[in-house]
Amino acid sequence: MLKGINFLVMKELKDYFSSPLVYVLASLFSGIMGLIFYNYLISSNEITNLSIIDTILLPTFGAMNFLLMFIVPLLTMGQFSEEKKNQTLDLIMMSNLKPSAVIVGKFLSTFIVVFFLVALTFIFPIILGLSGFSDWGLVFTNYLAIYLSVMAYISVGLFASTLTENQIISVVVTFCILFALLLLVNMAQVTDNYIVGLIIQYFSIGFHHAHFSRGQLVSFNFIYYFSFVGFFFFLTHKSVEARRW
Amino acid sequence: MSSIAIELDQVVKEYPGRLALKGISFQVKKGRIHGFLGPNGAGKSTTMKIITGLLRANSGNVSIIEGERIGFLPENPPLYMNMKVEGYLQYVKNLYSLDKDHGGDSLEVIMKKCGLLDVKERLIRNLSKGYKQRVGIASTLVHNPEIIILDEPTVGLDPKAILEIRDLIKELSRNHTILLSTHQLYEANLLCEDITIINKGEILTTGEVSQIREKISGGQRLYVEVEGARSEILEKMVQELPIELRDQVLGDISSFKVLSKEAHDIRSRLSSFLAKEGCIVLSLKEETMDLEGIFKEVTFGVQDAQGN
Ligand SMILES: Nc1ncnc2c1ncn2[C@@H]1O[C@H](COP(=O)(O)OP(=O)(O)OP(=O)(O)O)[C@@H](O)[C@H]1O
Ligand SMILES: [Mg+2]
Repeated sequence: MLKGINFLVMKELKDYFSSPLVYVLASLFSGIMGLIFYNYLISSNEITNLSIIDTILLPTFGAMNFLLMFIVPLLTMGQFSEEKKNQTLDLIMMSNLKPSAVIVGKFLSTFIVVFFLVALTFIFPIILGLSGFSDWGLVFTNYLAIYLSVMAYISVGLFASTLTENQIISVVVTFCILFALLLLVNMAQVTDNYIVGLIIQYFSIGFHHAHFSRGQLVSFNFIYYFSFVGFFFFLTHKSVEARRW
Repeated sequence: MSSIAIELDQVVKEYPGRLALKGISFQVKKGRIHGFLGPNGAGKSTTMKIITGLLRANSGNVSIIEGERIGFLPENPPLYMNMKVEGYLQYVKNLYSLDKDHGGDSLEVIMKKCGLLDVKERLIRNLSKGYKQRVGIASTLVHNPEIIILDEPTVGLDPKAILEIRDLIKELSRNHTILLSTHQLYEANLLCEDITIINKGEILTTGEVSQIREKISGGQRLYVEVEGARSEILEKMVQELPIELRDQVLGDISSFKVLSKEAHDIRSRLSSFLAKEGCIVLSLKEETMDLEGIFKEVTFGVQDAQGN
């Protein structure tokens, strides 16, 4: 199983880095993030720990999270849909690899790519550090939140790409699911039933993200992210297996 | 007694709202080329996917000879367009050798067999259809399978490529059991020792080609155009040669169809007879019996047998 996953991760990474898509997205991402960060930086005139957090750090992470909601689906869109279109999924299904190994392999390779993409922004806190900023714990929880959200986005994206042979449809479905989950926060505020509000809020990625960005490590947030990813793994697995019927 | 490589027993497959296989049974003998013949939508691909485990049957049994691996070429070869030929074959080999190495020919030998040495550094995306098909066939060999299943391997290729692929299949049959689907009777005749005919999810007949050919009454079918034929000549011809005539059009240039009652080639006897009678044969075209015809014949035979 591990050998199989390793084999697939290597193959997917090779694919990612030999296609222009990753480089285009990396330059887009770092360009936009750089601009945003620079913008917040010059528009904040007071430089104290607190003002840096409120006027530079948190808005930058917020923008990064939002941007990744667009970028991750573009990475996952072809993962299963292209293999379905070219029938190469059957090639894999005839090997001894289990569908779960295939899903994990695609998940990990995409995560590794996004890991490095996000790592390009590690320069921002370092720049802030040079001007006296020192709340590294908050930087850490914010990156943790970003990476956990990225996992959630990847799991949705992979699921969507098993549904169709068309990459565009796969991307649109991913956007729809992700934005629906994002909007749940607002819905929670609209409903006047406290319990329903709480429940809806719990299902929203944004709600859990917020804890991290405020520097809190709460166990139910981890449970949320891992069950979220687990749930979409399950759906993806079902969807891949359904090909046999 | 030859052993059985693949055996299907009462296999039923139902897609949502469509019964694709209505309980089919047949056997593929080890070491033979077995043709799987049927028109579009008959259920050939479905059957093959069930044999390879890509699809699950709703009921019935598929048994594969103990521990034998299968190499499968689907209708559209499963290719990664952005890989090079050799890289792709290496990838498939690694994919199938994760647990253990299955031995067999090296990639170099396989590429040589399939005529791929010249293109091994080319991107698959840039290959012609015939070469893509060869890469697909080569990929079925990398894990040294005993059984090779090919789904319409010659469809959509130009005549030259078709001949080359057929030669390749013949070559492979020396070391492998081959099950190949086609909707050309001609091709099945040419390549296969055994055939199974399927139509609308039912097996019409299965067995050795020679036996089945006997079942299908009538041999060769010819379309003939002659100058100077009169009806007496044609009547005499029907009496002297083992043939039937159909669709006669008499005139300056007469045309008719000839159905031979015997299995062997009737063309030379026919043209020398006509020449002797002073007619000029303008054209003599062999009509390959299309599947439609075969099915009529085969199903007719079945009804006949039941009637008796
Ligand atoms: N995934 C599917 N869902 C529903 N029906 C299907 C599916 N695949 C095939 N069928 C139907 O099952 C029947 C058998 O299809 P199959 O592809 O096995 O035929 P075939 O003999 O391979 O035909 P062809 O010569 O066109 O390749 C057809 O009527 C087809 O429409
Ligand atoms: Mg088919």
